[in-house]
Amino acid sequence: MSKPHPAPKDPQNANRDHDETRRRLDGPAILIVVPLLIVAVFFAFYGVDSGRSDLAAAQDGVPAGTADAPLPAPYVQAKTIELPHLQPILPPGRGLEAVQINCVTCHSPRLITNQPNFTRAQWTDTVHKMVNTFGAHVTPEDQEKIIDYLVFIRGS
Amino acid sequence: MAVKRPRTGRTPLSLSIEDLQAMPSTEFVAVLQCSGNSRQSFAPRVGGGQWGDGAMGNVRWKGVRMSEVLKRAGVRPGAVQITINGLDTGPLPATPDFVKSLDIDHAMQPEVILAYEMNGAQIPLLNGFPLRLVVPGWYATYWVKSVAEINVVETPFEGFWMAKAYHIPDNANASELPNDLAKNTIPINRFNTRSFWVHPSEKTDETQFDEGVQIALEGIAFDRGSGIAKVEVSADDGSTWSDTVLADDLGDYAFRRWHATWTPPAPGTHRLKVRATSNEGETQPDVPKWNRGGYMRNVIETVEITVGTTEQKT
Repeated sequence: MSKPHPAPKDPQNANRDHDETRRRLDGPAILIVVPLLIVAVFFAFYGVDSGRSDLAAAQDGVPAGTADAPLPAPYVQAKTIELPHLQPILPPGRGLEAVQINCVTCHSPRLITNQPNFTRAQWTDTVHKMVNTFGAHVTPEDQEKIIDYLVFIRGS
Repeated sequence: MAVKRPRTGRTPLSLSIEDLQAMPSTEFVAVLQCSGNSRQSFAPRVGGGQWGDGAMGNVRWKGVRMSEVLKRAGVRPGAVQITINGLDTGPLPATPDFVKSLDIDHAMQPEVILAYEMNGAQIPLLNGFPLRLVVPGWYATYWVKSVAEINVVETPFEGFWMAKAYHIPDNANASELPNDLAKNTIPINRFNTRSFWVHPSEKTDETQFDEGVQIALEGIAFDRGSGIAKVEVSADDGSTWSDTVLADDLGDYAFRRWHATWTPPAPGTHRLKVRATSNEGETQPDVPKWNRGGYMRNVIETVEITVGTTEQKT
C-alpha cells in the first residue's frame, strides 16, 4: 500500500521565484517569463474578451519590479516552471522539410512520431483535417509532400 | 472572470479572484481523466494523443460553486446552457477557440465549481491557473483551464468543441466498428467505471515473483460519482472472482484504492484480472469496446505475471 499510484504531476518547483517556460523548436531555447500577477490583473479588466492579447502580453514579459509588488495573500504567488527541452526527432525522409515548416507551428514533432501506422487514406484525412478544421496554412503541394512523408515514416 | 447574460441589457458580472475567494468555498477530491485515457490500447489503433493509462489524476479541488456565481449573476428562466471560455486560444487565427458548454441544470449542481486551489495551493499554470472549471465525473475536456468568460445562453451552443469534437457514438456503451461507424454521435459526457493495477504491473516492471511467495495485489478504481461498491480480482481468466479490501473513502468522485493478497498456486505464467462495480451497479466489460475517437476505454484490465524461474525476463 505504500507504493504511489498515478497522481497529478505538479511540474512546479515551489522554491523558484518566477514563472518561466521554454519555447522550443529548432532554434535555441528562449526563456519566457510568465507574470502571473499580470494575468490576474488582466482577468479582472479584460477577462471578457480574453485571449490572444493577454497571452501575448504575458509571454512578452513584464518589468522585473512587478513580480515584487505586494500580493493579496494567499493567492497570487509567482512561481517558476521549467518545461523539458525536447529536441524534435523527426526521422529523415522526403517531405521532412514540409513537415517542419507547416506542422510544428501548432504541435510537437513528438505528436507525429508517437502515432501508430496508418494507411495513406487515413493520413490524407488527418492532413486535410489540420487544414480544413484547424486552419493550418498548407499549400496543396506541401500537403502532398507531408502525406508522402507520413506514409513513409508511419505507413501501413 | 466575467459572466455575461444575453438580452438582459445588463453589463457582465465581473469577478476577480479575490471576489471569488470571498464567496463561500467548497472543497473535495475528484478524478480528472482525459477522454482518450488509454487510447494507446485501442485495436485497431486510432490517431490522437497516444496515452497509456496515465492521463488521469486524483486531485483535491477548492473553489466556489458555479451555482453561487450564476445566482449572483442572476440567471433568468429561459437560460438553457452556459458556455465556458478560458484565456487560451489556438495557435492560428482560424483554429477554433476552445469553448465548452454545460446544460444549465448541470451547471447548477453543487459539485460543479470554479476552482482556485489544487491540492491546497494555487493552481499551477499548466493545470489552469488561476481558475479552472471542475466538473466531477465528467471527462477532462469540460474542465476548462484559466476560465475568463462564462456566457449564459438561451439556445444550445454550437461551437466546434461541442458540436463536432469529442463526440462518441450515441449508444449505450459508446462503441462502434471500424467498418460500421455510428451514424449518430453525441458529446462525450460522464465517466464509465474503471479499475487499474498498481501492483503487480508491467509499467513498473513488477511482474516477476518467486515461487511460494504471497503477492500483494493493489490498485485503484473510480466511477462517475456513485462511488465504488466493490473491486474483485480473478486469477482464472474471469471464471471466479474474489473481493478485495477497499481503502479509505476520499469521496464518491475520488480514486478508491483497493488491495488483496494472493499466493500463486503453481510456478509459471498467470493472468490476473481486476473488475470494479459502482454503487449504481455498473461494472466493466470483458472485451474492449472501440470507437473512432479512442475514448472511454474501461475493459477489465489484465496483468500477466511470472512465478518462479521457468521464464527468464530479458
